Amino acid sequence: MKLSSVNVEFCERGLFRAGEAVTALRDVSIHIRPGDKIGVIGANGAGKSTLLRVMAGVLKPDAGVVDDEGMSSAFLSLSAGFDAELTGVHNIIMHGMLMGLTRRQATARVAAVADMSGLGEAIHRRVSTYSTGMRGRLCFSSAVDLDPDILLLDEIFSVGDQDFRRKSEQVMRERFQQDKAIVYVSHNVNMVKRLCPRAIWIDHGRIRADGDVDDVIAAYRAK
Amino acid sequence: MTLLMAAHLWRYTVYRAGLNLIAEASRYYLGWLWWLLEPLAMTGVFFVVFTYLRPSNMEGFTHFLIVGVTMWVWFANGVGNATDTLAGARGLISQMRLPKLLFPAIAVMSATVKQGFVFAIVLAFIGTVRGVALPWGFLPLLAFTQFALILAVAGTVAFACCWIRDLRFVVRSGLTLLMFCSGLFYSIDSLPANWQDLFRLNPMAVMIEQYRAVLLAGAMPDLLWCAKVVVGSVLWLWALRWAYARFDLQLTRRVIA
Repeated sequence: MKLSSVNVEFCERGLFRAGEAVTALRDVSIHIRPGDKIGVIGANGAGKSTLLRVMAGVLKPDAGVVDDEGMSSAFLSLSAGFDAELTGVHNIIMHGMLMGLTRRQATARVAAVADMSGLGEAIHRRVSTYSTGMRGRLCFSSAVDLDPDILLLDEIFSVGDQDFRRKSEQVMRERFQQDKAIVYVSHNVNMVKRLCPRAIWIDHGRIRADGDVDDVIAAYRAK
Repeated sequence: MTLLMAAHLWRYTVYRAGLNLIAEASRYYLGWLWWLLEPLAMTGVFFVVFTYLRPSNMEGFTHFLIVGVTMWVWFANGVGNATDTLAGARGLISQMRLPKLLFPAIAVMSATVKQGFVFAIVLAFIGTVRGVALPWGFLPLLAFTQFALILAVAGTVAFACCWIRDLRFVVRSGLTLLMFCSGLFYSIDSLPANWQDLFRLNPMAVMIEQYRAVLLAGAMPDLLWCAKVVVGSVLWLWALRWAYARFDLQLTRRVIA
């Protein structure tokens, strides 16, 4: 996938207020090759999640070109689009169906997802009763077996208790060993260092550094 | 979109609509009972107003009212629920590229399942009290006509309200105005002749007349009118499908921003 000079702006307009444009991404160019493992770091509001949405094809840039080069992608974040009024089980089935599974196939994977999440009986409760950590575990577990050419991960390790973090890191480590590309957004630079040989530092929508993970993290820390 | 994908999305819409109803019922103490109580309460209000405050001389007014309110509530719930449906799906839309017409379709499907339950009770009641006539066989056709109409209006409203959020207030008032213009508690025939044609431009007014003709008078529905509404709605939905696809990414921005 190739992003060339991508710009994304958001603008709020109203009859009684002038539109003020907020630049989320400015002149961003990235080339992702099959098998790349890229960590994206940067402060809050730097444009990291917007970058993933552009890569996922959810957002269209105001300027620049996104060429997916025939690669499929899936975007996974903690906000996953789960319905808080439904139970964990129903959300797993719905998520599976949105990923293209039949209802029968989606239902068949409920047990495995529930097991991975470690939510126990809580899987039958409404998601609105879950803690943030429990929601994150449900989200991570229901999407971890997706198999696109590029997996776009937005801060998905920062959830759950110690046990779950260890388990999810183990699962993701295995994913990172595979030959599929992964773009991983995180504030946790140590985790990025452990998992990704390449990193990108985004600051105020611009790429400040792109290259070897140690060099990029050193530049980020020295800012 | 391939036929296979369309079929999959249809199955998702039906499943999701069912889950929405389960979620909705679980939010209230009286749960599913509200499906019946909501149109019953509305009928009750009109009944009190037009029996005691401003008595109607119409014979069989209660049955006349029940049919009108039941069919109106289906339309109003379907369209009303679709108003904020795209903003309500922000989490999904910001993460996946899905055909956005799916969301108003789910809202309409939920209202349809809910109203189907109420409609069955209304049919049982009227059938017991007034008897069943042969033209009742046309009821599925009438229901399909109304479903197509609701889907077309709901899809339009969802698109418009996502584009300009302020429109949700207009839709709310518009539904109230339309309710008073749909002949729920009066017959369009009772209006001055020059007003009748104008009121019948509102498809819900004619729709309700059709149901009453079949259920209360045992008469045939106007099949030509039904065909016109179905064809018009399907053509409109086709155009809507194009508009949703053409402006898909702009809609996403409006939902996310």
